Amino acid sequence: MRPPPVLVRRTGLNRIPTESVPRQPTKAMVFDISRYMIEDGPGIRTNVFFKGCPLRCVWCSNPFGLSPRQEVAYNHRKCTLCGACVGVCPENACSIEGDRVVTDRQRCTACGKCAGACLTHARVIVGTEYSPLEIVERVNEDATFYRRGGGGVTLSGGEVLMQADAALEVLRLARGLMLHTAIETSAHAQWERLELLLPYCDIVFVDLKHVDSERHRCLTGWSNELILENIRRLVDYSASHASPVVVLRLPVIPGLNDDESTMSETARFIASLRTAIAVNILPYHNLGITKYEMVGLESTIDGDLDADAAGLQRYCDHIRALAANAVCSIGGGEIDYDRLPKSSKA
Amino acid sequence: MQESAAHEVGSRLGMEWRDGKSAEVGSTRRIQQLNRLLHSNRPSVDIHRTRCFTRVFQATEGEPYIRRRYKACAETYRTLEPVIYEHEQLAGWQGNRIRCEQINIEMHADWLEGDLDQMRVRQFDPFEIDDDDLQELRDVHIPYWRDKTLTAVWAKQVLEPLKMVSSGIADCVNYLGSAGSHFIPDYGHLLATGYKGTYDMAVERAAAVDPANPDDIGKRDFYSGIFEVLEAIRTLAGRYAAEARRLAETETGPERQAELLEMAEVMDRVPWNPARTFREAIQTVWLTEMLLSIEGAGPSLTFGRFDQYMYPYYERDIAEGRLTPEKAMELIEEMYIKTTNIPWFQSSQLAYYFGGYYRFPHLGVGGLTKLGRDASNELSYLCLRAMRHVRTTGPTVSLYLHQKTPDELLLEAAKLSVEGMGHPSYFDVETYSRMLEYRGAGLNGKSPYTREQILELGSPIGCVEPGVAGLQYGHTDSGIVNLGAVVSLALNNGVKPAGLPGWGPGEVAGPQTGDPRNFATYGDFHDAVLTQLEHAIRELHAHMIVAEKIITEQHQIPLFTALSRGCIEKGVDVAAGSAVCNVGPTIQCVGLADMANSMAAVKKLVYEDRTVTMDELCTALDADFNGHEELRLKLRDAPKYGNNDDYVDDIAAEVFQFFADEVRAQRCYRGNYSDPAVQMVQANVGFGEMTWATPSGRHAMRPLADTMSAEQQTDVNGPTAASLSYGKLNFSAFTNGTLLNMWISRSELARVIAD
Repeated sequence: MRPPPVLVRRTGLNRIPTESVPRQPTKAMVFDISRYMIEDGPGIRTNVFFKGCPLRCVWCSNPFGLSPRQEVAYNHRKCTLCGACVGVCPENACSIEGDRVVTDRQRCTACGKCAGACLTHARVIVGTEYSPLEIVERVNEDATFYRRGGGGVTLSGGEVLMQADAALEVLRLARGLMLHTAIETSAHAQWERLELLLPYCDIVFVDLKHVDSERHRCLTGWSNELILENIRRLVDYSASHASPVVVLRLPVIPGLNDDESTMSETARFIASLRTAIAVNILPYHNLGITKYEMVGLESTIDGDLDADAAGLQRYCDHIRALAANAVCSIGGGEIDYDRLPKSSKA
Repeated sequence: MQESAAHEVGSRLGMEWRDGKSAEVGSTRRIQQLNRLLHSNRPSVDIHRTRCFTRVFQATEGEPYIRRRYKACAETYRTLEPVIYEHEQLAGWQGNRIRCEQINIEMHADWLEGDLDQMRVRQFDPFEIDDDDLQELRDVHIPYWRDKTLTAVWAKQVLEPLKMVSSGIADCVNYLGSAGSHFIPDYGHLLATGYKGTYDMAVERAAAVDPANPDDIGKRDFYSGIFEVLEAIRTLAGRYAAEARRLAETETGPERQAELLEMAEVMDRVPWNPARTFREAIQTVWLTEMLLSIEGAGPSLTFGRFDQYMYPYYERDIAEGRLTPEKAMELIEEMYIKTTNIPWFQSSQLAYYFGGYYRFPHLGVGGLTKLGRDASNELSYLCLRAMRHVRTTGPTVSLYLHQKTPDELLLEAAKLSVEGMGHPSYFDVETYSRMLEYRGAGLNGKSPYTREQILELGSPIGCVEPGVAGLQYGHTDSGIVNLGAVVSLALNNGVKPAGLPGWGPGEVAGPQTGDPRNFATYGDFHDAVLTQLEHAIRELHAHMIVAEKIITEQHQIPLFTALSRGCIEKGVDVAAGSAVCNVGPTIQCVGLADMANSMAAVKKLVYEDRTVTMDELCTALDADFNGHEELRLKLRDAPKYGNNDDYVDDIAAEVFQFFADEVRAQRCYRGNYSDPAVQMVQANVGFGEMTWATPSGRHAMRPLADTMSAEQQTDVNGPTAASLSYGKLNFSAFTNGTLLNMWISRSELARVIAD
């Protein structure tokens, strides 16, 4: 049994005034807390991945973030077919079929008994509930590594805005410890939810998956009007409050959103924002492809989607040509945070 | 993007080596050519030193040891072949070929006899040797020396000689094979006075020797020996000057001719006289470094704080227009090549642990001045930059970090780190200063060093031991205790597991701490482990102090003595204990993480969760987990050191402190106390092969964990969590230094430098 969260002197949290601790902390469903992350903000960072996402991008590179609920993930490559999970499952949801264990996900309640019995960690529970304070305690363990490079915490997902209340508490507590804060969002949420977090963010990474609404609907399940509107409002907010820094991220999925007209249209949209803005072109990786079957999903990634360096450069050239207000970089680790544009109306 | 894709597949250096590119690197054409020369030769041996030693010793049978040793060293230097290659500016090669090492026959004759035929093809560190030389070794030198080596003499005086060189539990083979090592000369003083200064001092002191004073017995031999050795060095420099002039006569290129003549002029003056320029100073340093490596058999003959003692010469030369930073860097690069040129000639057993020819010299930059200000200067940057150009294994360029280290210097060092060569080493000034404050002083003592001496002259010796230039002597990389094997003994009632190689498989090797199946609590198991550890340390120490005594009596080292402060005044050889601070024999441990992880696994699974019984554990270990994979996986799942998990980190910290205290309680022959260390370099592999399965879930004969690091593949929370674990240990208690290696893949490095 984990003891209830307390203010632990070891992590330096004793410096938080007690009144800033929420009386009834909203729990956050998180599928990973990763240390030493260097691509989502300046310095060395800890990324908190919130579970659950409203979009269904066909290329989703981490399907663990899709469902907002806990679930069992099963990696048959690690499985020795020992059968421990079959024996221990109270719902009789596991059975061995051929060279792997099959999980009846209708029956599975993600109670975690099978994961506890699995010695090779072929079965694990994806998703853990943390209080915001627990998250910040974990994040703050690496405080000494954040200082020099301007690092801190990045809330990512999934979609962090689906759990805006919990995220707000995490950001507030992190700010109380003087940590640098960032969120990474698809902006597919009510503006008010995003606006709630903005006073506590130093950087907001916001994705634009496709500039064309109909294509956006085909590729993600939703049209993009809400997202485009939110991006405009975010840029305005940033300009009028002089914070946070906005980085517009363009994930490039070969064959899906990197044709010439999409590039030009995207560039024109950026130009229409009329403020200086950082644009970060993000090459796609399909490292998450094996995770689909692990959580019982059909992979929607079609073919070889490896990034093509020349195509990325061409995208960057388009943006530079058409959107003079953009400061464009390629690759998450290549953003020069010392030279990001300060938001101001052109 | 193209660039980062190429980085994914390995370090840039590794890739270039595979493509055969690395051999010809350097900031100038001259350095590239010299680097090619270095890398196109295989290590070989020269028996010049061996011949001199045999000749002198045979001619002086029955005379005092110090007289014979000093004469033999002088003879070696006086008659060394002066070789000058094309492109060279610094004079001095320690052998008659490139990458050639002199055999210290008085160390090696006992084992060499059996391994001579294998020398060219042995598994670790093979050496080329001429047929004639090989025959001469066999017929003349080995028969004379085989029963006179340190190991041979020692083996006749101790209880368990075989156990101490091949049991894989506690081991002093390193101490026995490398007397004359681990030393930082007082270069600042040498540059200011030259060898002439030391000579004059000796003349003065020799005149004051009183034959009627019993304290002065043997001092006449000491001083006449010092005279002879220093004169031999002067003669050698003269021979280099003559050789340079001879080459200049036949040289057709006017530029090279001028260089050779300049070389001759430099050698006419130094190292006998005080250095006047950077060029003369670096020549003095290099020739001394080279001679030390001939005189001593061991590793870590270290440059010390090169950027400090060289800076006055650099600064003046730059101001007066004699030197440019580029020229200085070229000379530094040449010195790096020459340093790498010295291989370490080790016994086959030692090469099995420490193979790779590397002799662990350090060259330090940064740090503080004696008044506590940042000491970095232009040379600090040049020394780091030179290594980025020349890319040799030696010397280990080291950065002494502190709160006032300028960001620019740290970034220059980071740029070198990114090259993936293991340069530079990073040392924390605050920690090693504390180590030096308690160096060799036992549990409650203070070392003789003043705070100012530590700040001004303190630096790592190599690989990581803290030292003070000219004030400290002792072989510091000496005894080794295998913590993995210690755990194994506790689980086998003191018996070494039968399936292992080396001394005594199946024999009682430690105290009989009882059948582990009868341990009622974790405390019982814990006590058994610590009892085994304590015994291993004491048994090893008992064997090493005998060797220490033999070294003080029979392995005098005149040049080390001449380069130490106060030894000439005392008229006593530095090996006999005349240094300001004597250190060693020290004791280090291998397998720290294996021990901590093993104890944590037993604590958690056997005594807390009770999911495994001690009987099941012992049965599985005996079978090396064959048929017990399920149990092994449970053990692998127990908390592992290197993840910022207090459960196991607390155990690591406790064992670490216990080891330190136990070692520091051991008094040595020369009056100092032993110092603990963790500095095993790559020996975790060799010792792993002599260690049975451990409760950490590690299979028998697999490598142990590297130095201070987490066990392989068990630190799964990234470098920051691992660092937090390491930070919990009391490094300052390890007064002989600690070594922590961290490997970070190039793609995981954050880009902070706009190149």
